[in-house]
Amino acid sequence: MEIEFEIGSQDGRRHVAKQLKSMSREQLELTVLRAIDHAAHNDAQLLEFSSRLEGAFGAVEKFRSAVKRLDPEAPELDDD
Amino acid sequence: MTDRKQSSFDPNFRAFFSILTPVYNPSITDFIDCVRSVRNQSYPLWEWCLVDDCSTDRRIWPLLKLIALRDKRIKIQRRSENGGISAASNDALAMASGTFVALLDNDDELAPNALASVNHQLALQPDIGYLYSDEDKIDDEGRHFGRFNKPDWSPERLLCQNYCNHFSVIDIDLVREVGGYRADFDGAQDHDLLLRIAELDPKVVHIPEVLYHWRATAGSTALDVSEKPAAVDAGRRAIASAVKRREINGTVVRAGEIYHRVHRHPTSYPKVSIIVPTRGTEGSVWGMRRPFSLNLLESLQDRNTYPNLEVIIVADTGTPESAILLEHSDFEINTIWFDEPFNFARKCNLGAIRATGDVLIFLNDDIEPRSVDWIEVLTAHLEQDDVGAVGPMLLFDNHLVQSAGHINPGPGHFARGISPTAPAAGGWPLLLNREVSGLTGACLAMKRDVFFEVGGFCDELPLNYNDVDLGFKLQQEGYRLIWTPDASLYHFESKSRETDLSEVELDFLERHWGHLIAAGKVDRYVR
Repeated sequence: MEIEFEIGSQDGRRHVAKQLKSMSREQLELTVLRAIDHAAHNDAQLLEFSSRLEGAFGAVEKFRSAVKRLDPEAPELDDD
Repeated sequence: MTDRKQSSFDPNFRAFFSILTPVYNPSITDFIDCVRSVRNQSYPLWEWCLVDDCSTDRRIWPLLKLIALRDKRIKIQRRSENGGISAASNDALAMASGTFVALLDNDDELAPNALASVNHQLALQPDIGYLYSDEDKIDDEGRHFGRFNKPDWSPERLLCQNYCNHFSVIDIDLVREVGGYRADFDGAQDHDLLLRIAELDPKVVHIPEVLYHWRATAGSTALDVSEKPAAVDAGRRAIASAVKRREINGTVVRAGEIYHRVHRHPTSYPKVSIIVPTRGTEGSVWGMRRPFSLNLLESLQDRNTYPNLEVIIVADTGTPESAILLEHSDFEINTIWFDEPFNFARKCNLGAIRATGDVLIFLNDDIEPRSVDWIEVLTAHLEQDDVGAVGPMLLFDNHLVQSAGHINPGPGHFARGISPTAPAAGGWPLLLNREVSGLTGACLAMKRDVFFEVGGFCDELPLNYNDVDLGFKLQQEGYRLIWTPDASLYHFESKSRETDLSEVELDFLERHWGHLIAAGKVDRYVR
């Protein structure tokens, strides 16, 4: 499963959040890896992830963090 | 660690250099050439501290007095008894009043712009602690040869070889902090000094210009250090001393005629996950056609002594089960079925996510271990916090090099197709542990945390260059990549296979790392 990483409208972010909730743990973690990889290719300074990924919940949190780093102005992702 | 960022240039910056030269029975003509090279420096702010170590040639001391009379910047001293090169160098150090010391032997020559080039670098980055340049050799007829294009700052390589050597310029406070030279290491006194300086973690800059001409005459170290076995042994002791100081769990082993390297051993045995992406491909293994993956798993039983291991097979759907061992008496095997379009990077990432080890080793299925402690060696290097990845010597089945690290640009494999004991790049890097600009994903060890920190393999590069990209990402984050010949494996990759590169892959590399691999650029570590 692929998700779109461009951080655009609020609707777009809700869409991302819904996709995340429907993913398996492995899909989530692959997605997080892709997000970090994107950040690495776009701006090295965005990379400050120091701890390993442990479990799907942690992965979601790290993805949210990655989103914030890609777009510091973006509001927090909703849970719904 | 080398900081490649340059701060703003201060055109008014002027360092004061103290050139240190211990003098003992040099050839008069060589010494006069040496004097001329110092007095011809285009940069004026220097003093020259010369210490005659009680030369038996009675012409030397009067000659020193004569040149000191001609130039007030030249300071001389004579020892009352011969004390050896370190004692004389320490006396010269005690005479120094500069902020940087520049090391010059009594029969060598500086390039006219040597100090000017060093000052230029310091004007760019005044917090530099140590600078070294490229060098060449000069024969009795004044002919230059043997240019050594040195790698950028490579602390792992320095632990094997004093590749920095000439021309070295060091912040005098650092030299004093480590206590100067140590007479126990005469013959390798500079190597010993630089190893101790390196432990202070100064900012280091490599100047890729020949600023020093090393005199090479019959019987000289420059021509053949093997003619001086005491110097070779002093080098070994200098390395052993560093290993002890740094509390490295390692053994100093001979590397060829004159070098040594530290064969590292792990201090602990974290769980290692070997991730093997496969499609169950068959090929020739020592003349027999069989599934590569099956051969790999069986060979892991014979050539592996690591006690804490799991193997994760990431197999494309449709891979025959006969190509995969489902159980193994020595380690756990987990198989993940991959049902997406072929994507090597994504398969590796999936394996990493499933892995439970703290260390990940990505291993192509057409590999067979050669050295039994290869996993121990790779994990031992990873115990250094700033090492992001480690790779081994990979050999074709004809025992020639398949990969000894990457070179960028290329991208390509360093030393591909030559003997693993042959000279390469004007030296013997195949014998030494060393920093590299990239490592092949065919066998690559990383700490799990670091793999996730940089986002793993980029799955926009499904087949080629995902390892090159990973190496750049690691270096971008300040990690070193280490290649070591102490771990060696066979790679049954076809020697004649042309890599099938797509425009998309090349474009991706160019877009993201073009500033590092553009035409005209040279590899940081093999030049």
